[in-house]
Amino acid sequence: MKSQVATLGPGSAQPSAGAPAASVAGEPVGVHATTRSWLALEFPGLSLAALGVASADAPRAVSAHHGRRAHVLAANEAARAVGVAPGMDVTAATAVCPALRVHGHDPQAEAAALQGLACWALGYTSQVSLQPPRGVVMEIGASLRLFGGLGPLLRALEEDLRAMGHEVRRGIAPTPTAAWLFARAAASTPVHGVDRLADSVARIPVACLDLPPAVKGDLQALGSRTLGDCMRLPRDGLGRRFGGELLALLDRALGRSPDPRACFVPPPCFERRMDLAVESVDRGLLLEAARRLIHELSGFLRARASGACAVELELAHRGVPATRVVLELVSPCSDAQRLLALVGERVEHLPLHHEVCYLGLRVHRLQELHPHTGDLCAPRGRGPEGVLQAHECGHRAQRLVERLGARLGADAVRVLESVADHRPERSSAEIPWHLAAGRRGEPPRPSPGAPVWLLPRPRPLQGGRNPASVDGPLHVEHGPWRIESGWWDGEDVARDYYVARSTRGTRYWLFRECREPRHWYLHGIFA
Amino acid sequence: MEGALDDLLRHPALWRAAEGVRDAGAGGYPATVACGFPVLDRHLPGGGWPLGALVEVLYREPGIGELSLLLPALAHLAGEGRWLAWIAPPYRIAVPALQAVGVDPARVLVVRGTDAAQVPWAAEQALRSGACGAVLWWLRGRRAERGGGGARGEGFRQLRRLQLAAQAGHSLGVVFRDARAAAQASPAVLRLLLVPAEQGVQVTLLKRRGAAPACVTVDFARHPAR
Repeated sequence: MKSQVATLGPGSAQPSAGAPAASVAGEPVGVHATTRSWLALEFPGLSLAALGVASADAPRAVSAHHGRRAHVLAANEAARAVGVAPGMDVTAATAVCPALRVHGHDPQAEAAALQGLACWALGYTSQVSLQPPRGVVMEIGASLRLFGGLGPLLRALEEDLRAMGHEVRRGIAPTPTAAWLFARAAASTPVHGVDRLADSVARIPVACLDLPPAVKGDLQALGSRTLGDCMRLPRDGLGRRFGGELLALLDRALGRSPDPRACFVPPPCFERRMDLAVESVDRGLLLEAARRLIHELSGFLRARASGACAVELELAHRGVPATRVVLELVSPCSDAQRLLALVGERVEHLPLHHEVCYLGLRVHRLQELHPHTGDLCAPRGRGPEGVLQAHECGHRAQRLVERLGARLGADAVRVLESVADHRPERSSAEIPWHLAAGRRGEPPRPSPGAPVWLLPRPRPLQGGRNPASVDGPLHVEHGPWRIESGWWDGEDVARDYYVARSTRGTRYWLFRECREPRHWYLHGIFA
Repeated sequence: MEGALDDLLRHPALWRAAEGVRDAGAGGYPATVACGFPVLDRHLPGGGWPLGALVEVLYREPGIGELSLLLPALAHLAGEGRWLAWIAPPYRIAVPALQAVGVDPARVLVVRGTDAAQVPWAAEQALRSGACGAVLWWLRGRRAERGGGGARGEGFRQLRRLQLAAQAGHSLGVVFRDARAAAQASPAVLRLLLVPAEQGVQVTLLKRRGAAPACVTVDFARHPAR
């Protein structure tokens, strides 16, 4: 049984059984935290994704300048299929692929996209740090138990990344630097345990290091093509020739020196924007962009243990004010699938008259999300299945209301509210559901045989002592009931209500004013 | 010998026309909801409004009792915790009247203010979701009549979709149409034509499962629901 020490500090070395053999000057392996496992993700296509062209059908590439020459930084799949590779000269790339469109590198957009990805990664672990320009390093040792092991966690990550359309290279190691090196070298086999770390690190080619090209060229001229070759060289000589940077990198990778990483802190509010590759009204493209934003939002919400109560989607047009769509949610939600369903529903039926140049997503209201607890004693239920049904019903009703509101507009879906007022037109109200939360209705008032249907406004009828016809001669059956109310707000009513039946069989609810002019009105219909 | 015959007749796969259709309730729900008027319940297959199916109520004039026939069943469904969806009702709803009948207004969802093309979509969503015990929508007006042209016209297809949605969500779907639509074919399992009668309404069951059309008069005066 190996005894492993979990303290950080350069000095206190503790040799453990099975110490790695390769060490530049025979120093014993330093202290390390062995329960930690780091996952590094590199996104080679991030510069393309930031401009929205990663998944385009036409070949696209992003170029960066090095002095006077421009070389290809990243190429999308269509371009790589034709033969364009990162590192090529731009002129060579256009010669290979005449249809290639080359975009300039936008470091700010790339940095914003990386921040968005870090927000998404916060949904899987609380310790995420950026590895600019195109990488994210996260500590997953503490999350393995929650996700049920490394396999399920990696599968969940891959699924999300596939849904967002990002290309990724990953590496897993006990130290963050080693994990990053594995990612750069596309060595995706996880390495657990520091004893096996040195062998795997030794296999990494020198070209993957984040060092100036001159240093890498000198190393290769010396014959060291892999890090293992470097580690076999004498330590002080290596330090004198190439400076302390290379040695520090090796020490951090092998766990001999501490490697503290700054934790990424999510911004206080989520406000992201995604450029579209082509200005268009194609809803498929819009949904594609919305999907990425929503995955990032979901991670952000999970990191803060909150849910979004309302989400605003902004579709910006050129020269015209942007279209803003606000989606209300019945209960705070951090689930990407639910948000995506609502946004998809709305975008599909949104009238788009102008082309959209970018898509923005903002959260309006955040609320702390409490884990769901079941209720054993439901007020309405017919037994154990009854309890389950009442609960399930509530969830389904929520989804239904959200869906209807997403497509028809939040004001089209209403609930009933009763108001303490004798005047029939005031005693009931239909209010949009998102305004009704938390409002308690008044207890029922006895009403003298009021019908279910009320006209929006009482319709005047002709008539003297008896009402004239509505759609035929009327025969008064019951009445009168007097309602007098409302002297305090200026809408004073004093009415005598009657139930009348027409020759065609319809029953109406009429009233006659008690004061001058004593007109007859039709107020309701008995259904 | 008689025992064997009885066992055979009790077999669930055997359907006897005299008993009407017996649906195995899915998820613990009963297959019908009693409508609350015994004279009508006797004539409805299964003893009530069919859950998981479409019911068409046809009438010439509103206000003859078309909603009163349904209110006791709606009260029962709301009491069980399921929602009631009213889509594009023709008038405002008076809450005290609903409370007087026993329908819980907290379980009523009203969809209003949308154009007529969205009404069938909203009804379909409400039926399919399973959250609503009953979905009521009104298809009246000249546009609705034109839409139902032909046996296999657009209107028929739309109603068929709604019937399938009601089955999926195990909800009662009620569509209110003009009496002129009685001549058109419809996929609804139950079709009622309402004509005003002296104290109540005369219900002609134009179509029902497992039995011939019949005519029955429901007297509202006997029931305090009104």
